[in-house]
Amino acid sequence: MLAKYNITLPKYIENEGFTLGLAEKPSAASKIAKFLDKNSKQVIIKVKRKQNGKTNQLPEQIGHFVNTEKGKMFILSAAGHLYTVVQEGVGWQYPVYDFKWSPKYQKKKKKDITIHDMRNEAAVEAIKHIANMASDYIVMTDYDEEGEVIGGVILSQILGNKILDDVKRMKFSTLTKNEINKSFLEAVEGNLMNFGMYNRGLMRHYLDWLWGINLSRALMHSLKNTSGQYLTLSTGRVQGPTLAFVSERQMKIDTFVPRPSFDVNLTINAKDKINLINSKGVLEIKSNADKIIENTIGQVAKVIDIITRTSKKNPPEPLNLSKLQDEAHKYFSITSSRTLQSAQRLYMEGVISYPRTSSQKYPSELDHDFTLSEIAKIPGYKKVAGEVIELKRKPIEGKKTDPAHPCIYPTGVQPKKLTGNDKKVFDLIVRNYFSTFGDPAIMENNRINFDINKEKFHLTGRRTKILGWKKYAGRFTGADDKELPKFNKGDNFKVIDVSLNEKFSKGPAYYNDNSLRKKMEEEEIGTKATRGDIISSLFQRKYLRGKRIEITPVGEIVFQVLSTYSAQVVSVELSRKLENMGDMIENSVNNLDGKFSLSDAMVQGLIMLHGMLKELQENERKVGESISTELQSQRKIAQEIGGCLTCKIGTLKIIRSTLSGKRFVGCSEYFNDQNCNTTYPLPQGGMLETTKELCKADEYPQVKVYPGGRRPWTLCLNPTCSLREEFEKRKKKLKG
Amino acid sequence: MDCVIDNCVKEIVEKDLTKYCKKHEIASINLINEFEFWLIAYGSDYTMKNYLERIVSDDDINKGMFVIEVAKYRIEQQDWN
Repeated sequence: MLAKYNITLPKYIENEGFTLGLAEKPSAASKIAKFLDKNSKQVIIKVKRKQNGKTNQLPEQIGHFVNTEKGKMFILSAAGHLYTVVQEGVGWQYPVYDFKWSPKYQKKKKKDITIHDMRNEAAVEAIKHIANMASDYIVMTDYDEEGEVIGGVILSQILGNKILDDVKRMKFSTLTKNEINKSFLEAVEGNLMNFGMYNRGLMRHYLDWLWGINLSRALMHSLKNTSGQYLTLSTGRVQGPTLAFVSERQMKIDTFVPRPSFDVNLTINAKDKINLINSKGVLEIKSNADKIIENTIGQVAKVIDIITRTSKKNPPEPLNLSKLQDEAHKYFSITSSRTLQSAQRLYMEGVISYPRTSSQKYPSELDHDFTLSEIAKIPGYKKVAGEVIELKRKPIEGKKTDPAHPCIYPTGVQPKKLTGNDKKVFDLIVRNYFSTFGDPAIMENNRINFDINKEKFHLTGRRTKILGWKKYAGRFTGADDKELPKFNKGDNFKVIDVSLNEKFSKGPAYYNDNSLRKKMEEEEIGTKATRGDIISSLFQRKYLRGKRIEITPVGEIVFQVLSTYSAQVVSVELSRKLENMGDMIENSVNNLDGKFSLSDAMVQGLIMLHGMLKELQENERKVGESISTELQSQRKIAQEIGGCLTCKIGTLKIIRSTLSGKRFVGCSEYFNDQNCNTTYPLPQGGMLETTKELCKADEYPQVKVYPGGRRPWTLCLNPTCSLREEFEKRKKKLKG
Repeated sequence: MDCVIDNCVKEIVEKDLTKYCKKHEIASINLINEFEFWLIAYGSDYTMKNYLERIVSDDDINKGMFVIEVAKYRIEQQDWN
């Protein structure tokens, strides 16, 4: 039976005509309400659900009743996306092309419903009720593609698509009083939604859903139909190529062979011992390095040249999200998704501008003197902000622009007590803002050349001659100075040590969160706001693992199968093509370039998808068999620990007893000729992973134990291993 | 047929051309190709045996896991070609 809802509002709202304002989050709604009317009233909305004769109270919703010069307004908030794309009808067949928007909470099974879903349900019903009473509508979500979709979808689902032609839009980049008031007046005067961004967002939601559900089901059906096994497998438009980056990198790392090269380490006795650099650089042939050593050993190093050059180091450009994530990783090792979380919190507090931006330009109307003088009131910035004001100068800007937002900059609003990453990210943003006002720094680059028995060596150093912008940058000044000792031309120093340094090329590095996000950016897949989430979802799917990102066996299977039977799914080109279609929609709606509608994009997207699904369907048996075979081999590998130390013939395997259900390690020769009955106990809780490394203490095989929620540890199979005793002691001590 | 490397249960890429699975085959090709650079570096007296043993035993050298497995296999087989 369908649920009915009873919504209780204060009487004065029931009787008054008002505009409904729709914010993205409760904290934003509350801020906007306060900025528009400092006497705004907080309204508690009670939502009751009646279903099957039962009445349930849903979590209370908070709205804000605001009196403005332009009339009365009721501000409510969504909690991000309240609606999501779902399949029309039931079943897990594919292909599926019919879909609709549905409130998120309805997607869940009754037993899986959480308090978060109940909050969503209450928000949807409260907005529905109040939207039907309102006379006008203003969307006041974050001004970007997602913000446009959040506001547009909620209102169109409740009131029909036509309403969007009349819905007003507040467009702001900072949650500050001036900008909120200005954007409110512009909205009242007729600022409408950005349909370019809205349609682009719809395209992304529709096609991402269609690709994700159909391709994932194609994989799962192949496995089920050929082997009867069920395993949750998934892929998607951006997920596929991202997995491909990691898999290709892993292949390079696993098959890497280093190349040797040679360097000569040479030390002279100046006031201190100083190492010189061989001017021939790194050598590829060992005998050449040996010759240099022979020529220089016990000789004198003579200073033949001292060269000094100056260079300019320009101030950093204003920050966009990508640069902010780079810098936060460089200086603090904060991951890109955590940097975005911190920046989002700072934005919600009103202390920085909107962070999801590509722009390197300040808003033209920004009053820098005012902003700097407000920053000067924040503890720790008074002196530097004062110095920057004294410069009486305009800041530099970069080339990149963003149609929706300016660069990231501090608003001058005083933050409440900041801690952890938020504090670091805020400092980075403020210092970058200061630096953009500064002069270029002047660097002095020095090189001292030496002659040692006709062999050339040198020393290089650099120092900052004029600080320029570095004066205001705090710790964010880039590479440190390296001062050289004072030498004069003609000085002689004794060579006290010469040795050969054999080097090997390092090979490709594993991706980390930041470098993988950068790779996605270089390849132009995903958006600045979604890249971090896509990486997280690959971790959640257990396709990737570790801080040094590795592909898991399951991830590898999915990648191999897709690249063999439908290479387009993991190709960058197709994903990029879709992003380009988004640009075409946006430009077309905004009358910038030709005619390309959402329907055109959907048709093209579906043709691409159809092609990929056809390839997978035609190869269903092969796809299923490949996955099944790989899974079997992975299971086999996962069970095998190493050779048996007793019979020396069998393999030690993880076995589960059919009688007791407990797991242990036993020899594969137990049922064979050797009748080897070697066994080792195993912990019964947590996930186990075999490791090829032997125990350092006694060379017994080891297993890695992943106890849920605690740090993984390595267990040596030998019950009397000295390391194990030590571990037990530490454990007892900790318990004690 | 499975790859000849111990504990590798993957199928051989092309039965007539190689005895390795895809990843071990790439590792094997890389090993052969890079040996030329080692010969240039250490001189013509340097042998495939020296090379493979160094790859397997020198912990200070960064090398791929599949490369070590192929090198170990070749040492076991005394395959110095």
